[in-house]
Amino acid sequence: MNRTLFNPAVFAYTLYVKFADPRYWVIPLLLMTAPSFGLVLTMSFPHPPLTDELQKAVAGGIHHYFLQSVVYLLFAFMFISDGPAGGKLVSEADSLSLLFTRPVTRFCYVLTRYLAAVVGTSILMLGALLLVYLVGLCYGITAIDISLLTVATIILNAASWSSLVIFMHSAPPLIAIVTVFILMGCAGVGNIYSQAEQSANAFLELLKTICLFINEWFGDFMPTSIDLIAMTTASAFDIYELAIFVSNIAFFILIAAFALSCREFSYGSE
Amino acid sequence: MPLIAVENLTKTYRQGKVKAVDSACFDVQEGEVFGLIGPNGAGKTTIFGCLLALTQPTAGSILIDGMSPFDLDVKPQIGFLPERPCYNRWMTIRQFLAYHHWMAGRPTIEREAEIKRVLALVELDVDIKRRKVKEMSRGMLQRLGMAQALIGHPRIFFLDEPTSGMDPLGFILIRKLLLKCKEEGMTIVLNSHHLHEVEKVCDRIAFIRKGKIEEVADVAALSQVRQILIVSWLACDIDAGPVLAAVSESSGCPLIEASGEAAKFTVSGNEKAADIIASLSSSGLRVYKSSFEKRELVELFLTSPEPNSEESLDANGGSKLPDE
Repeated sequence: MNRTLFNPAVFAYTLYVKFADPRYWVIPLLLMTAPSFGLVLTMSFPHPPLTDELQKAVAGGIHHYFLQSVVYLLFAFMFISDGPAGGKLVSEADSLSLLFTRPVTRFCYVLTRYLAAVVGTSILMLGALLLVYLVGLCYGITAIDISLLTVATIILNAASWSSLVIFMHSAPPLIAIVTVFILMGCAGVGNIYSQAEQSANAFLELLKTICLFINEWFGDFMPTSIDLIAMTTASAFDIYELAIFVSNIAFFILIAAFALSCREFSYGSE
Repeated sequence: MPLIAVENLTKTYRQGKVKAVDSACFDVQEGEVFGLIGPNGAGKTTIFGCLLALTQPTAGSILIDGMSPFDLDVKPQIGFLPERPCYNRWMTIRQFLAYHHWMAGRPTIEREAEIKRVLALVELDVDIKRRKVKEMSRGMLQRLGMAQALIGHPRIFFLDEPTSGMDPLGFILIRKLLLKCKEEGMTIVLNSHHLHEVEKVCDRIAFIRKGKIEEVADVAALSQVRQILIVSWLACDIDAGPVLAAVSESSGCPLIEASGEAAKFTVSGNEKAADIIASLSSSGLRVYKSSFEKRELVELFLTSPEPNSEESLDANGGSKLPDE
């Protein structure tokens, strides 16, 4: 049997099962409408005349939402975890153990679930962008950017958040939480160190360098995000930032595959 | 060449402190129904985990059709019924079976016919397009589990406690189904506490205790080799207790029960039975009747060497057992 990196059954199941029951559409719809709701609220209250500056400020706020929103995390978790969106979760160890008696490799499972999460999260986030753009048009706001670069930025950020969540899903829960906690801790320390003066202690300097590296690589308490619009409008395209972004995603996918390969299932308890 | 060959399989946990399976050796021939029986915590589930490539053995080897269970080519050949129904609850029955058919890598064109076939096999007659998995009873879930395991015509069928949660009709259905699968040449490996059921369907069984396989035996031969000899004697003044103990020790046949003027011994053949009768007569007991009683599998297991009184087996198929 050929070893494939993509399993269409897992892909279709991951996307389909979330919306098989209309009762479970409520939470994704609420999350999708969050930026539009915010815009409606803003525009419903007394506000200054809709000048170009105000339009740009509103559009900038919305753009920032699609860069760093924690909604990516919620959507990615929704797609990667077993169970319908907002529905009752099942024991993932149990469902995975039954799945792995079928001809699917663990690496293939990780990649397929990851791709499904990227596609699902991107669709919902792009839906949210389209919705907020249309609501903006109703209020006469035309500055909201829905260019191809924005679309690509959303897809890439969905890819970044999904890589973190696929790791959380693949590793045993405690190990996953501890790993992410340590990485976040180092990133936080790195952020603080970056503002500190140089120390005479060589050990502390080494620690600082490591923490700064993790901070740069992992992000500050969040997965790294990317803004293609800012990158393309800058004087020089930042290849280093792109490399960090891609390697961060690859890192999480690889450790997810590794964690799942090492994981043992006894179809009842672990 | 056996279809499944297990050599010195060992699985330890906690850096070797807990030995779940200890040098287990057995093989399963093609078309055979093989049962793993043992009390809770004996290691049956761990052996299943290793056979299904869900757990990496610490030592030893497993070959399924000459391949490692981790080999992707082995997977389409196996069907697995887990003890605890852990299915995707919100799917309809049709969606659930279609998903597993797809996962098994079977052609799409066969899907609907295959779903109908397996549902007919397990006698699950419900509206499969509307009924959701979460709306099914435990017994129905077990039937659904059987259906998903049988999808794609597997060559080897692994069943973990197949009658768990089933009513008496379900017991009969499972037995019928297993015998039908056997007729079709399917190899079946099952583990169960319900020893009466195991006895009725298995060709061979492996007794497991504390991670060790104590014996692999042919069910038909086993019930003939080890029988219960019932002897009765005329009432007399002799204290039968010490005589029975001495005869049991000298013949090597365990004394099961003694009451009044009758006793039961486990014997392994007619010669041993004759020895016992002769010894009792020479000790002064006037034996006037002796007969053999057919033994149930559970009795064979419980009277095998070094039984552990703390371990539990469900001979009646009904009592609640602690989790493994």
